[in-house]
Amino acid sequence: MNRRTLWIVAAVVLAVALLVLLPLFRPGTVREAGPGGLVGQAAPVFALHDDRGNAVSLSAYRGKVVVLNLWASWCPPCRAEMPDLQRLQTAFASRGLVVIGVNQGESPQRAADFAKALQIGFPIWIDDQQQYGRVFAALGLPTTVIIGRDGIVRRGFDGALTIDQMRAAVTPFLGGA
Amino acid sequence: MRAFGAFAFVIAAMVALEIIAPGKAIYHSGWYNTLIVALVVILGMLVRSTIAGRSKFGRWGVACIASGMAIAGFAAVASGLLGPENHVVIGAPDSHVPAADFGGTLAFPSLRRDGTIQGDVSLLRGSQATQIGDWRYVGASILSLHPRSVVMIDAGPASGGSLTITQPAGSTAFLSPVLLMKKTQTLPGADLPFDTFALPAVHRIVRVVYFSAADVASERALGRAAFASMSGPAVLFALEDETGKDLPGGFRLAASGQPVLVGGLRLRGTVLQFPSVEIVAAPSFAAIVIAGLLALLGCGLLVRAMREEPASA
Repeated sequence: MNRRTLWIVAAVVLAVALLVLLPLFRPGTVREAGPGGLVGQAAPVFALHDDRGNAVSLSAYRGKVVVLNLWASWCPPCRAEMPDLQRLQTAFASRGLVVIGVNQGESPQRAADFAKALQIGFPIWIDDQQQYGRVFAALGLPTTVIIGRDGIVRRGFDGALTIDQMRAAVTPFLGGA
Repeated sequence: MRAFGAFAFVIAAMVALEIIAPGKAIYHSGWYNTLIVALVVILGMLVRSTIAGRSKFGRWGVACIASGMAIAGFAAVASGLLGPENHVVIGAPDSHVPAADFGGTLAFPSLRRDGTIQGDVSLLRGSQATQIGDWRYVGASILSLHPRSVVMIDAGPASGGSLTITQPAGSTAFLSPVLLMKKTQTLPGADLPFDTFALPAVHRIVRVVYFSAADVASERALGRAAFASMSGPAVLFALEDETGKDLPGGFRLAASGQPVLVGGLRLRGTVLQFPSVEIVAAPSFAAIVIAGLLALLGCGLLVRAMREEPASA
């Protein structure tokens, strides 16, 4: 083997060495903890029922901007946030926004009573297995996730939001539609 | 040629062992890796004498095999000395657990109340989802699934209905009715898995201790009356108030899936199987493929050379 061939072999060996070693020194990608962790990914779809027993699914809301609010009746910040969510729904429904309250782990009756007491008009879903709570890595309640018209998760929030924070969060995704 | 072949074979066998039987502590030991390096060095030293007098195809064949074995040996040593120790990723159903080794997340499937698992464990990297199946070779790691016992909880007031279950801060999933039983509690004669959940609506914390079918059998053999009628796995519920104080009469043992009333609550713990993911270091998959192709090419060239050499000799 001549000198040129030896250089080729050396270059190949060096390239393979880099190939082998680089993954071992790659810094770990730190994924955002909590509900923001799924930003940029398709929103998981679970088959659930609403507080009246009707089958519901996120897939029926393609083309809408969805504000998915995870809540429970025992959670004081959830209670405090609900009227603002209703205001948000009323203000932006004409621009394609839908607020969905996803009750985490309580009975349909309890969730319906709670929504009625607070005069909530947006859909209330019952997530008795708390699947959305798990998949969005909820750190607590309430947890709010904004899903774009394309079904992709756009924002995730841990804790209660004010109406101004809600407006600021959804406006970029509503566009002029 | 025989010595060269023997050394190449031993290197290939040692590397293959790391893939066929991954995760052994021996692969991280100094002497095992030193041995691989020594074999590769000796193989390199044998190249000159092996190619002497051979045709062009023969020389290239030997060079390809030596390069392939060097790459495979290097990948094995890199994995053995620099690869991470074996570790197990435990995730709740439907949860996404960061997998920094791969720059992505491990997505765990759903678990139904009847114990059926919907979906597969997947490795998500950007928009790419790789199903793990029983095991999968990814980069410089081998991922394999191992079922472990978890406890699915149903809780509600004694009068009916259901209550939200939350798990302690720092647990895998705050809002999950599935307890992963990662902690261990020592009870007389046994170390038993346990976990804790809260029922915020009624200000209660519940500790759940898991008894496998074997644990139940051994308790029964010891003559403990509470286990007398049980044959399968069981759970022990222990109720506390929000300050962590035990509630009088707040202890109750229940067979898996059997609802019980305790402290004004209706509790049911169903023992189910759910996969965890073991991650072990392995030689880089890409390097092994390249090494394998080089070795195959080398063998092909040698066979061709052997056909030609007697004629040209």
